[in-house]
Amino acid sequence: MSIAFTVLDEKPSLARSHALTQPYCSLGRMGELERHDSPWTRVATSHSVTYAPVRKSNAYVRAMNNYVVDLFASIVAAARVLCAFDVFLSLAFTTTSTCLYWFLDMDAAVNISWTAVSFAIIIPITSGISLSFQRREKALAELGMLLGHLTSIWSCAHSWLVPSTRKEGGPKLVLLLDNFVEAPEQKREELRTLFDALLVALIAYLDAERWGRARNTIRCIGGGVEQCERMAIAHGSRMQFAGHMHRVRVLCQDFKRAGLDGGQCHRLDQYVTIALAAYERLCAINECVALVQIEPLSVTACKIHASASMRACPPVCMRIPQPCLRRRIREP
Amino acid sequence: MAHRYRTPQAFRAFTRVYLLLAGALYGPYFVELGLGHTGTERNLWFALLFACCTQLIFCGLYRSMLSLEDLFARRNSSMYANVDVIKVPEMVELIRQQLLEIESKSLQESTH
Repeated sequence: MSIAFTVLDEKPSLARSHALTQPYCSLGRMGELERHDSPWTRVATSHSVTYAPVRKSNAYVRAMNNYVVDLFASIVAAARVLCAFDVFLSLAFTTTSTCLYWFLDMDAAVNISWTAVSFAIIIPITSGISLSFQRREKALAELGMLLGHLTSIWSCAHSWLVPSTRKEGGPKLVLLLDNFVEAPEQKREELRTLFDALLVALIAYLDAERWGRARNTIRCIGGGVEQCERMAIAHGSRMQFAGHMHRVRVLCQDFKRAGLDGGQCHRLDQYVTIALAAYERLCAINECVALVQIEPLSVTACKIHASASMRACPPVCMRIPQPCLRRRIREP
Repeated sequence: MAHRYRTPQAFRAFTRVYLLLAGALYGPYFVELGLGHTGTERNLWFALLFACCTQLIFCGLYRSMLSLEDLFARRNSSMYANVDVIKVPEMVELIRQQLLEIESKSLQESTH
């Protein structure tokens, strides 16, 4: 008996007799606005599917209301974006400069082309927004892939049937988790605890402050140490998640003891592999380190590392002490 | 894979510095606006208003780019506006509810 039939049991008279026979919408009217109940809403009701009913109020009032609320929300969002020290600083520079020219050297007034601005500001910003949105969409896809495969593993563990190992009669096929001879309830609890820890570790990792990409730091005023601390926190959560994923893999192998054959076990293992690959890609999108070095013997440089391959904190650990560097330069 | 997803660091640093300087560099242009076509008008407020609006537009775009740089919503993240961030706790909470739903259905089936 599948989950779908369990839902149908609630309305057997209507849903069973009309399952898949009633149209969801009229194909001739596709694209037209259906003001009240569509055919699919009746089918949805019969399957106990909840949906947002159309409120029978004046459409123009509703549209105007939505427009006003949207406009107000847009103003609030724009104000939130603009509330920053940078903005006030640039406004102060602009007004001061304009006033200085106005009162001290009005003859300097000249019509300047905006081409330089478009090259120096607009192009980098539009490119940056475009690239950031690509990263965001990619991250969403990978997160969906990860969560989807985790759900699949959970669903398989709770729905797959295996030959019963109990000898005292009963059904020949039983649920996978019920087929553990020693304490099946304990196995369910173990799986629940494992997924709980796994999901929380995922949230904790993605909640950890990034240590480089969102903000530039300078090493000589303590930026390196701060980055190391943040990196250690994020990597701790990452290691926890990896450890839990390993436990999921071990648990999948453990299902063999409950009668799951090798092929199906391999399929579950594939789910774990895909989820792990999605997680690694998500980490690569999330983590990139940039540290601006300002030191006496080095030209200001921007070092970018992919932290996926880093074990500790190379930006600080790899720093060569100045005396050593001078000695090396002098030596042939 | 990582190299494909880096947004250019130099873009951001250069834009940030230039954004601060642009208003000062374009001072003569705003003064020219205040003087009008004839050069005899004395409209400082219009010049300042135009200068501020221009800076706000640029800064708004720049801040939008910065807020997209950090993809995931953080607790107590006050640095950026967090308008377009991915809200992981909410997404995972939905998954948790799905897992519980699957489990309860599974238990119902096993008792039948």
